[in-house]
Amino acid sequence: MRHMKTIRTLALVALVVACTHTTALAQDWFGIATWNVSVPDGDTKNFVDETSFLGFGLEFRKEFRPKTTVGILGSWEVFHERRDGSIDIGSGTITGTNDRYINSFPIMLGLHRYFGEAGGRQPYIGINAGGFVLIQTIRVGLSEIEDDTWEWGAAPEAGFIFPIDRGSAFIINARYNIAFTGEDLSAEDSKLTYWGFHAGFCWEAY
Amino acid sequence: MIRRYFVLGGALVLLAAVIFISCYPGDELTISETDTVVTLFDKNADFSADNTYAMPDSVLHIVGEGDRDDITRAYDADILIDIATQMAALGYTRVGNPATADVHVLPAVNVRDYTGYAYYGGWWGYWYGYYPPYWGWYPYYPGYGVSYDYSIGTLFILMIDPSQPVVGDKVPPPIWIAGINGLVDKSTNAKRIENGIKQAFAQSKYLGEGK
Repeated sequence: MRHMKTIRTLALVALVVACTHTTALAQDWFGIATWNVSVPDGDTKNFVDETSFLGFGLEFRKEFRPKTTVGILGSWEVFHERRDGSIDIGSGTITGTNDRYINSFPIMLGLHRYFGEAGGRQPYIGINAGGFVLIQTIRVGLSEIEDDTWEWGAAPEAGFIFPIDRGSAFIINARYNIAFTGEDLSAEDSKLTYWGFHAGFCWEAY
Repeated sequence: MIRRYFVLGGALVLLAAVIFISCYPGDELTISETDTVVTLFDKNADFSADNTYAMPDSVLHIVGEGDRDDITRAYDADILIDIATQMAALGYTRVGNPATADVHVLPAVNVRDYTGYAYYGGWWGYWYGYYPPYWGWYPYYPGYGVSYDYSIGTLFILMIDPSQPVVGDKVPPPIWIAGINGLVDKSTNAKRIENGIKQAFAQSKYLGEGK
């Protein structure tokens, strides 16, 4: 957890800066802010088997062709599970209350295609590619092991945009986050995979 | 109109961020939840060949060179009895002469003291309307700090095979080691130490192989 306080502060500052800048960029881009619920899958589920309700994301998209946008996204999802019991470490065993954390920070570029009528509901699909800043932590009693890595990955996505008024909309989408590389804390192959379900607010300029 | 939604959107994001940041999970632990039992063993050791053990009548206190030993001996007797009980349950026989024992069991304790300082920032109007004496705008509630002390204790149990050769001044490494670690708390220490010793042996069933 040694980086967590710094990351929390930086995230808050980044959000303030992002929201401030959006006003200036709004004529060219539209912004999306979402609350993210994440469900671990595969190797990720083996390490933390709890749905995460702690997550938020910021995204900016720009229409470069009719019904097609490019964009950049950043988000932060926190997975946590507290378990009691023993962990086999090969030549021994550790027993105690153990807190397992995954802090995932996807940073990706995206390409999205929209299908609805202009001004109406906009179903869309997209693909995001980039990577994840991944912080895996296990704390047993008063001891802690942490591993910080960058993992390349992608996140196919589908969603709906529901216009509220001119220049604003609600958005819901689902993303499947896949890291192509990765190891767990015992250096065994382990890929970050999880579902992300997002709901939020979208603001745009015409 | 558009600007209004920018402000709304930004406010929602900031609200979500503040809630998010303040809800970071798992930072709280009770005293007993700090307890950890770690056991490690030598993969080349043949525990089935060991049937007898020798153990001193006291617990070694690990203190820094020149430091005063202020670790309490209040738990020493219990520690020795608990270890002897667990060794007997695994099928080992205690012998008085270390020279005739298959393994030596050495208990040792270390306690480290820590001091921390927590600072709470000032809040404007934090108590506003909360308690009757403070109806209205309560003046600046100043920040304050509090220092705290805590100690972390570790009980080590080492099992050494005396038949392993001593090379130079190097003592042979233990073939089994247990570390029982947690916050020191006078009201719960005895029970937590007992539970820790039980757990250390419970997760090391290989010590009883062949007996």
